[in-house]
Amino acid sequence: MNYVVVALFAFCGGGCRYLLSSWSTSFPWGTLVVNLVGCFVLVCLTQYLAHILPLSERLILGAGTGFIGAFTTFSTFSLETINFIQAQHYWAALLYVTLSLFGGLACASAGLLVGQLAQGKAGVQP
Amino acid sequence: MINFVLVGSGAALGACVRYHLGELGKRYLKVDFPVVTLFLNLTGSFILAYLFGHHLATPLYLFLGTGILGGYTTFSTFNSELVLLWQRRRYQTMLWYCTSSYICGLLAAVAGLWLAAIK
Repeated sequence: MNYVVVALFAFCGGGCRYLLSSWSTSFPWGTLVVNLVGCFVLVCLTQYLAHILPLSERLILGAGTGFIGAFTTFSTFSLETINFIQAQHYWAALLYVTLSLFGGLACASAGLLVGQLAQGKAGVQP
Repeated sequence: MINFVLVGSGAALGACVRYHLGELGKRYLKVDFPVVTLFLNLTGSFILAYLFGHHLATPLYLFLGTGILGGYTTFSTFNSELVLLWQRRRYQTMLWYCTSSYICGLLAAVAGLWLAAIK
């Protein structure tokens, strides 16, 4: 049953990634935005919202592992970076890796922070 | 619309494999390092680059590459594991995990392209 839930949510997550990333031009803004948004939402969801909202474990699994997991991607990021290097666009490659690295960490930390604030407001002890 | 379905169904398959491997990892691997996500991201980067190097027809690439491998690898879990390691003050593990993912991920993509080029 868990597999069906993961698959259904991943179907939507992967499809949404496709719609957003087709908006990339010379720089893969689509993949970058998808990855950064995904980091924020996943941390917020699994670390805090799961504890303060009455959501079933299966729904969290579907939304986190299924939707957000399929929404974000590491393989496309690696390939796009290598394509930049092969095309000798070294600055674009460096910018892409830097934005992904620090942006990803910043968005995940922001998710943690927002989650903690939300938890404090809801008055639930971790 | 058809592309949405192609990518979506691929992503559903990829995510199920990722979930399955994650569950296996939880059951059998007792190491304090997110090896499963690292494994997924490295193998996914390698295979995607290999497929890309073969210049597949667009619908096939959308299903296999953007769909299956996009759903199989994950950037969000990787970063969430990084900040949780940071929160638990496992700075050294975090640094290793971060460096190995980025450097080996890019090397895996290079290897995939190279393998596709030598036929």
